[in-house]
Amino acid sequence: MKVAWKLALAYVVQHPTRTLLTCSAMIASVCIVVWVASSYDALASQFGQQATEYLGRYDFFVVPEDPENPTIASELTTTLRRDPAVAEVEPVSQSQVRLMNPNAEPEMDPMAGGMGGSMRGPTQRPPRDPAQTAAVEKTDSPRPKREAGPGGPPSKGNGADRPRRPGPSGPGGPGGMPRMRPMSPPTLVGTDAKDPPYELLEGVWLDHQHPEHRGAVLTKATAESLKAKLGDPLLLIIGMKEFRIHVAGVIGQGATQTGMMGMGRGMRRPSSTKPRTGVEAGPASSAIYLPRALADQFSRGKSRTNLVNIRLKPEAKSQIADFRKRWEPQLATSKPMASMLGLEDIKTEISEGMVARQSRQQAWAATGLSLLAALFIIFTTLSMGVTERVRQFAVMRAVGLTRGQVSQAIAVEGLLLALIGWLGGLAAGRAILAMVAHFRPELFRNGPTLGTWCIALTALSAFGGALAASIVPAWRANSVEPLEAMSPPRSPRPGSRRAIALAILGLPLIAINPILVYATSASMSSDTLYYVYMAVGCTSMAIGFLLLTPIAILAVERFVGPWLARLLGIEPRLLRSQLGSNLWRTLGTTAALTVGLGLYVSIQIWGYSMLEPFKPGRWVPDMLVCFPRGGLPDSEIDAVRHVEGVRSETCIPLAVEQPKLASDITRSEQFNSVTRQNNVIMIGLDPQVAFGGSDPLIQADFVEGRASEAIAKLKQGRNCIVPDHFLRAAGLKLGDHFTMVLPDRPDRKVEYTIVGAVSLPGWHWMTKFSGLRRREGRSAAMVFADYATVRRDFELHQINFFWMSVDENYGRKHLDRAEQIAAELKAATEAHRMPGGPAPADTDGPMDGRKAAMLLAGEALRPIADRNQGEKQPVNAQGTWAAGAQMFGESVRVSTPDEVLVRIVARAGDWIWGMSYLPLVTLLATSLGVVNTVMASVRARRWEFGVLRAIGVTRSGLVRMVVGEGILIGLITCLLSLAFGITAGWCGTGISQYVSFFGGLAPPLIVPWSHLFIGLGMALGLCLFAALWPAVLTGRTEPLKLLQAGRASM
Amino acid sequence: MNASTPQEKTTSAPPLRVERLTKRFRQGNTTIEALRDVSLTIEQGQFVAVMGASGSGKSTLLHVMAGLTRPEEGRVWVDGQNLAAMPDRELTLFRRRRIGLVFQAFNLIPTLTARDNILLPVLADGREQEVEPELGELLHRLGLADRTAHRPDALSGGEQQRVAIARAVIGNPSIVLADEPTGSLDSVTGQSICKLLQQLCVLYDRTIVMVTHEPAVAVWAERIVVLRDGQVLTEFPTAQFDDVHDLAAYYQDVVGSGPTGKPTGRTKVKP
Repeated sequence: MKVAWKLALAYVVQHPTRTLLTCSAMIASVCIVVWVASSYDALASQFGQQATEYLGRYDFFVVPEDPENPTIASELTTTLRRDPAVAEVEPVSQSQVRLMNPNAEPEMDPMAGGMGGSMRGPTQRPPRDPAQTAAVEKTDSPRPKREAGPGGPPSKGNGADRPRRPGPSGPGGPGGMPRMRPMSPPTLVGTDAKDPPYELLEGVWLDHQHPEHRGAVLTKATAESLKAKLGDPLLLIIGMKEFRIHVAGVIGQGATQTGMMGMGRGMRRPSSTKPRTGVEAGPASSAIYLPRALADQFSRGKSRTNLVNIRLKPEAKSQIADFRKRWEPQLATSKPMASMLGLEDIKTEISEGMVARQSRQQAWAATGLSLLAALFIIFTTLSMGVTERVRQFAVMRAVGLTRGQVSQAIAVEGLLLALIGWLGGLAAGRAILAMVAHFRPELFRNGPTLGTWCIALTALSAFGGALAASIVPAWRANSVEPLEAMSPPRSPRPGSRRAIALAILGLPLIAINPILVYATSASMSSDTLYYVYMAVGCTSMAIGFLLLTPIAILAVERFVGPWLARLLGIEPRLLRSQLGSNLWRTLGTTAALTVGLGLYVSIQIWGYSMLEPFKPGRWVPDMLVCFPRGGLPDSEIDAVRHVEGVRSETCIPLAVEQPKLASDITRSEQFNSVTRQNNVIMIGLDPQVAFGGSDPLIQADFVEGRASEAIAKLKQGRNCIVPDHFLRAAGLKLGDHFTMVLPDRPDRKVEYTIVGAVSLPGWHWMTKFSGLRRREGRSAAMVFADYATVRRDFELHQINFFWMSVDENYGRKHLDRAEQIAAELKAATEAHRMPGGPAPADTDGPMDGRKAAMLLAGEALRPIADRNQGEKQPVNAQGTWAAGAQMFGESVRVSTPDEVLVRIVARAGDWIWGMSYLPLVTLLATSLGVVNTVMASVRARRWEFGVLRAIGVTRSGLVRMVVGEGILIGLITCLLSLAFGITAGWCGTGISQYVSFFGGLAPPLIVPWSHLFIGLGMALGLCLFAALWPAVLTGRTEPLKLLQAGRASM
Repeated sequence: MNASTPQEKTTSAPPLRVERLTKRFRQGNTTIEALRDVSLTIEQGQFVAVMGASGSGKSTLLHVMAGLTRPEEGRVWVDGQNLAAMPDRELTLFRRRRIGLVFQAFNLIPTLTARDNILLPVLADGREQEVEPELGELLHRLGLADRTAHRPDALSGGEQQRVAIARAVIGNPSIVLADEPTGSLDSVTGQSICKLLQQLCVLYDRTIVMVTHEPAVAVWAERIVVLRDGQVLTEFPTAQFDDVHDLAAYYQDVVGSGPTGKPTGRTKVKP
């Protein structure tokens, strides 16, 4: 081993430039892991502190475990009190409510989630004029009948409906630092505790003597979210009733830290209706505390004890484990069943929580990427070294070094480079963290430290990569025969035959993944398919592309090289075969670059392909108008049809309801996704206008059935047209029927028969903010049926929705007026615009006929709506968001496909670019390897360059030759990355249909060329830039020096 | 391949003996017989030069004797062990301990110092401590005492070759095989290297086989083996010549003779 270290160390020291470049790339690669993994370390360092904060002044929580009866028996509380170790046993009730602060400004960033009650746009702001204020002052009054109750729509307002934002920031802020998460819906906590459970920050604790004063104590997070101050009045909405209370105090359970949000009431899936048990039933992080008596009164005595807080006596604190051991069996056998939560449980829960899990996953992803980058960076360097030292290895073998000793020398060399890169990376990463901590101290509550996780992952990426990288070079080195020391050095030749053989081997490996995803998927369960896809499909595909690399190198060099040479004004033969002759180092460099660029391409293709089915298609009519307050009687239909800008012949009222499916035909309980939900959005419309004639309002393509037949059947009664994906998700076909339950009358069911299936890209987002989702956050399908039938079946007495197309010519004639309306709307809504997001509706951008007509129509509809104001219609929270659609006054809400398209493209773009950040940084780091490769190429050809200069080739000619080589490397990388990215993106889209929440919509393969060109251009630019330094160095060297240096190295 | 087991010992074990060696190479579709039925015995402490024209097979013979390549037929006995039958690892270890090699192009490891280059075979064996006492004397004798910290690119050709010779003998091998050791040196330096090899032979009782095509180099040996077309044409002692010119003339006479290898008698040979 000593000889291996001596040889490796000597080689590394004797090649400082190469070592420096390799280590720089390694340092950059390690820095990526430090940056990402430190976010998890920053989180992990707070787990203990957060758990302690969460417990407050208590030692244990007793939580229900029986989902059928999620309460704690009063006998259990009594027994607990008798335990001599116990100082305090505090039973509390927790229930979900809605809360409003009438004095606060409306929520500024509704897309960031928050309390259901605060999701109001400017037009829904509680009125300030005395008359309207009086209406609100009417507290303890029943709510309108169709207002959603607790556990309904408000629970959807926690932002869970929007796509999670992964990528570099992932769960955290920029660079993976923790990001503040949106608030969960507030929980009313009824308690008789004499002291606050957490530190009292402001005001006073609950006055149990005078509950009639209605003083409430808020957690800090709740107070901040509501912008509530001491003494502020609040509206507490429970079921159909509103209660007026006021803020008496604020306690310090801020709990906005990432880990804490997983606990208590905040961690339930919004769509879940199951009662909370176990950890989920712990103290709510977003809470409002009231005396138990008052909470009972507000909930009409329905509140139950579902949490018990326990504090031990000081002398018993040392026997916490004994206490737990004593009580756990009793709790497990109590009726209803309960369990105990202590410090360790909470710490575990936080560490296993979604945020921590996502952070860990990100760290693993960065480690994997970095490991691959390190692998190829070191592989390139070692390969170059082996190629240059074949004769030396032969001598070593001749004088008695065994094959094993030669291999060891290579492996040690790789480990040395990794060690330097790792230590340098840790130092550089630490410096970067310190710098960030200096400017953003809030991101590092416990200081910028390199935690265990960070150090372990960076070591794994650096040394794992180095060891893997050593395998082939070590094998090549130990294959050198001693006799080669006696022979003159062989001039390398492009190994065409070997490249072809490798390609033949690689192609079937690449084919495994698509076959797996698209041909054999039906025979496997989703879980099995996913694991096989990851373990076999992705691995074989990556190896396949690696095997394809040599042929790509030779092909680009042969076919593109001459063109590039001509473009650069150099003799094509001078550019030929440099890369192919040094296949291993070129392979290492291009593979390293492909790690970043290929991943970038695949993410872009996967992301935009997945987005496609969510983009509104041409079928969507120009305007969807919602009348959320009251609704229109039939007598107003004509008035709507004849407002300016509307084409009256294609303006139809809709009867809309969102009933649950009577049975779980989409298997949503088994796997919840965008296509597998427990309800549908039923839309009753005029079938003839919607689908008939030469210019139907809904220009949807019929995937199954014919339009004319479907229209006829729709007119006959309970028949319907469904989206094509609904048939797949529910396993239905034309002629089959399905049953729905009336929302307000669970005992009544209606059955509809499917008579047609259409392609409806983008229907999800068309319903998201428009108000069409009346009951639930998500839906399995948009189902079309006859207007009268739906209205009758679902007992819809008023008209709340219209679909219409507009007269563009009319709009063009009245552009000035439309501009004026747009300006007024913009001014009114600008203050509530989502930060960085698109303007609500079409108030931005150039005005055209269609947009003008829509604005004119919207404005003209306002008086019709105003004269028919009434009860607020049921709608999910997103259907009330100001930024979700264009409001004309209080009662007209307009959604257009253009606006939805802008919104979804902006949102998805943000998401996809977030994910693309890491691969691009990796590309940047690995581009240092190109400098190394070009340097090695230049070094090997110094004599040749000397001769060329001697016979009259100019400096610039040499520079262009070297630069040309760099560009060729870039082109090979682009070719490979494109091929890899398209295949991986395609397969990723395919597998997503089975395992992703957004799957099931059979998206087409979309190649976003304009986005890809950014990455490809970046790669080419980096290669060009990387080649410049060695090129200029060579160009500046005197011909004689080149000749001498070249001869010396021969 | 005609081979016996490595353990098989010959009776009076000279340090090097080759028996009926045949070595063939393929060049495209043609098979070239580089060595044909070559047999040769080198006694302990002998300094033997192998001469021949280009393509006569002299380098191939040296490579086979060094265990760098294997013969198709025949056996190579070094210290009583048959190299042709040894597995690769055993052969490598044998080469490390029992055979010293000197190359025409020096073949030093450019990243190692002169000292480390010399010690490379013993470093590989983990025996550097054992040879430490001898190293100083060897360096002194080779005139390298003040050059040990230099890397090859800072040494002259002669110095580099002396480092290579030191590397060849440091492990106390049974035989030293030198492939045109003066081929890359000027005549004066070449002569000094030859003298050095001769001294090693005389002073340290080394057995040396040197391949060369220069009579001025071969004359330093005590016996010359001449190869032609892969066969031993003749062998003779150098003592029978008064000077190098006589040797050169005799060599030319032998090489230019008929298939028997008998000289034409025009050259002067001592009785």
